Amino acid sequence: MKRHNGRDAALFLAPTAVTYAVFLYIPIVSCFVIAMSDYDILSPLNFIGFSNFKRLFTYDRTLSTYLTTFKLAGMVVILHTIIGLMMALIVRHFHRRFQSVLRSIYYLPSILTTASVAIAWRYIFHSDLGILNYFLRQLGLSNIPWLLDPQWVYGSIAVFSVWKFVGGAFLYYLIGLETIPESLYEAAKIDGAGSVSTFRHITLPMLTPTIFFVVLNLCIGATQMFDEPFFLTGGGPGDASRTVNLFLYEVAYKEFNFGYASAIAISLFFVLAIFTIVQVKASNKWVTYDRA
Amino acid sequence: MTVLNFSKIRKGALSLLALAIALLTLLPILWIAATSLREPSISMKLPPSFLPKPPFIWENYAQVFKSLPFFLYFRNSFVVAVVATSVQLIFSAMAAFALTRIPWKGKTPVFLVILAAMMVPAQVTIIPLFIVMSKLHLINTLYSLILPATVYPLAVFLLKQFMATIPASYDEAAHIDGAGRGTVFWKIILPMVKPSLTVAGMMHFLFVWNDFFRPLIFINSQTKMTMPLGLHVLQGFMGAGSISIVLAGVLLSIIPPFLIFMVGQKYLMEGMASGGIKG
Amino acid sequence: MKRLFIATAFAAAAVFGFANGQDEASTDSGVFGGDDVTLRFVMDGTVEQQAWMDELLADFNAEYPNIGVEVIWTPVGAEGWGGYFTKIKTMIASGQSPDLAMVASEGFQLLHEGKLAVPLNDYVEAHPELVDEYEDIHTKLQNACIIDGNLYGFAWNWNNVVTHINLDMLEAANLPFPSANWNKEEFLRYAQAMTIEKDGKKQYGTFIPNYNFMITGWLYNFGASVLNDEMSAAALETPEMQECMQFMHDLIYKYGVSPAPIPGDNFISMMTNRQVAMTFGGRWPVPAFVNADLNFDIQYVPSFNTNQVVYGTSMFPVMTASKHPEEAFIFSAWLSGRRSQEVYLSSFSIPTRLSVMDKVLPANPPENAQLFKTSADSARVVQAPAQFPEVEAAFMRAFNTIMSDPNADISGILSASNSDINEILSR
Repeated sequence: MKRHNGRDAALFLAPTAVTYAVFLYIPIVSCFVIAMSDYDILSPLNFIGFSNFKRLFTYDRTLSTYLTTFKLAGMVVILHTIIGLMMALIVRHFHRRFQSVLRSIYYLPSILTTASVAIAWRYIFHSDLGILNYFLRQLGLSNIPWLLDPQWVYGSIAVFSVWKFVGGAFLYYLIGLETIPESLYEAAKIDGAGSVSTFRHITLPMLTPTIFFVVLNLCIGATQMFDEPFFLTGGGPGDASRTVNLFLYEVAYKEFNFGYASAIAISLFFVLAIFTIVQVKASNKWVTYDRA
Repeated sequence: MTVLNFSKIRKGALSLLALAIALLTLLPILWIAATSLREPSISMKLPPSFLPKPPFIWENYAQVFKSLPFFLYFRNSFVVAVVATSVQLIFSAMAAFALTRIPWKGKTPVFLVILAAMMVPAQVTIIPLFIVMSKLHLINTLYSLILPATVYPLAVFLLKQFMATIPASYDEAAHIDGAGRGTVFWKIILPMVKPSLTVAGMMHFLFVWNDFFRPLIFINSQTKMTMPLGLHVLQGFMGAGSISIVLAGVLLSIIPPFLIFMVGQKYLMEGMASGGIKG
Repeated sequence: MKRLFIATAFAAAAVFGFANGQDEASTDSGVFGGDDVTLRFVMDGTVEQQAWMDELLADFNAEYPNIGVEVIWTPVGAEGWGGYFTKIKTMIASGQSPDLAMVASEGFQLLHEGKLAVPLNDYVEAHPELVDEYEDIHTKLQNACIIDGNLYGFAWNWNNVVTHINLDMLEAANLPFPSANWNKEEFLRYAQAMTIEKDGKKQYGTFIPNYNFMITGWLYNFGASVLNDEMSAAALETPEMQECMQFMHDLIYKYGVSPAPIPGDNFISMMTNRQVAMTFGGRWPVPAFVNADLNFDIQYVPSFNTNQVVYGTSMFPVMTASKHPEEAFIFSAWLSGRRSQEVYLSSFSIPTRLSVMDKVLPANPPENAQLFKTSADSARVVQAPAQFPEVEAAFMRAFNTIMSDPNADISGILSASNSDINEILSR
């Protein structure tokens, strides 16, 4: 049996190796090659050196979309991390059966088609004709320019994003909470610790691996945001909510500037890689893995 | 079970809060359902309704089918999601098997290469893939959606975590009985990791079903469109005139993921916990 | 596990069946079996319109049994004409070029400069009998299909921009139907009179146009346009352009008679939902209006400074990459004929043939439908350089920035956009 270990491992890994190579790793490499060209798919490819990469740092629309992306991502990550945790803590206080009902409801939007529900949310957010502002007016407040104002638009995307996707963070927290041994809480009780102190000294430290996982996932996801601005605002007003991904899509499929779009894609790839490495390194400082 | 020491009032407040969140979560969906049954001429009439009130205009649903080939979208989405998920699960399970149950050098780097794929934005690969698909004449076919979707690193991760918990004695017993690795994989290990398979399968199915970006780029004609892309067509200045009809389409399109969720949610939640997503 | 395996096998079989079979299925198997040539034809249309096309194709096939047609239904949808042309380019690039495609004015220069379409002059000369009564096509509309002497096709349908007016709301406001040359002040008075607010519910007098084509309808009547007449440079810094943008902005923020547009807003549903009293567009929304039992009529866009109706037309150009240009020409000419317009364009969009306009316009709402025909005489085609998708995107970015901000620096935004567009044109 032992003799065939290498061969067997290769056989079992072969499909994965092929699909990952063809659909993932080779495309990444070719992305670099295309980024050095002025390819537009209709005419033959010309190599133009690094000018597409230079343009990343000189074209102000690229820079502004990055800024927008970071702002949006930052907001989304913070909101999901906190609201998701609050939801999980609340749900934990109920009986098993009720807990599972709540859990299903809270998680439900996460599994629905973004493209579909976002269409509906446009009508909810519409400033003059939408239903959210109607209720605000009923309360005697004035209209909020949800999708019109360059600042409010972040809020709107955040609201939609929380409604749609917070279920993910929530669920991970719930699982994380479940794994904290009951004995720790009992010990805290005996020591006479209050609820705030129990949370600070037991729940939170024990939960750090989950928080790390959630934050990392959110960062990776939010930096690639596409659907939310695409459906809600089309990137507007102006460029206010145009994320890098949306911009990249437009450069590629409206301008047919595949070279520059590839350069943007590569830059996004590096930004994500740096994010991940930094977070993993930083996690050593605050994530506690020494649990029971 | 109670973690913190709550008085009855606090418990009551918590219940209210929990219900409020549930309500906020459900309201938009209820609004979609109620509005999709409204008379088109008053679909956006204020105040909005959150519970369908008679008369129910089922005609709105008929109108969706008049303007869009909805069955076709459904079929395309279904074919893409089912095939991509099935193929991906088998490939991922094989990889996980190689990574957990066969002793060989270099497991860790290989696993890392697979995991690193999770960090790769779809946009980095989409342009080269688009060019390759063009050259292979696969643009505007369901293959262009299925093939790239066979890569799903999370499944390898989940399955590997789960397989690692199965004691090696199972394999050894089978080997003594003369079973080869293929048999061990198919007959012994695979049935044991069913919970992980279910979870990874469901998550991937939903991901593929809901994907908008790839179809947007790879699909041109209506006959090959998947549900999310097809629905998008109702929008725009030449789009459908009635919001009720658009929302009827929206509601129809979220029914399949909803059903999958209802059927499998128990596995999803528990499988994710057991799969080791703990950080 | 066995079940999973069976499911996989079943699914795999299904996809190979579907993914392969579908190409055959959409060529309308059977009917055209054993054809010498099958043309690939890109077209936009709803399921209902697709049925009309099936009817037409059956007719065509009776006449030309050896030319099959596979229609590739490619919705214009939310991505607009820019997205539609992208899809056609994609097909060409991937070696699956259509033989012919429906293309709107917005794409004519793109076809011409990119050499994506074949001039049909020689074919027309050689086979004049294939062209159904050329003189019947409105000359002005047909002229748009000829670029630098190259005839790329025959104008088939067209649209202009007129004012759609909800007559019930007009009556409730005690206003007479506006005259053909109503001006800016009258329009404002009408919009104000039909803006009603109670219980936090507002009915708006109008909704300013929010897509390039309809905005152009307003711009032309202000004596402005996005580009200069030669389409060689942006013209966003003219006083007329400023005036138009300022007026639209005032309608939203100063007078409060129009909702602020959000990219993607659909005026048709605002009209059918009785949220606004007046909108701007062509004949394409009419079926939706009729469906919603809307009591409406049409009038010219107010003559803000002048009267200059915008139009856009569509034709069926033959693609350069086509391997069957002759057959494609035959089908293009056939589809531009009277029969096709009568079947496909009776209620939707405007036919380009005088005879068909005379036949279908009076037979359908609205009352004033004749306007759809008469406006063609003085109409000016919508501006669309070869870089249309980008120019449109740049202009719409500026437009939306202005219209979403109550304190927008209109001239500043326009000048910035002016240089953006000049940069695009210089590429």
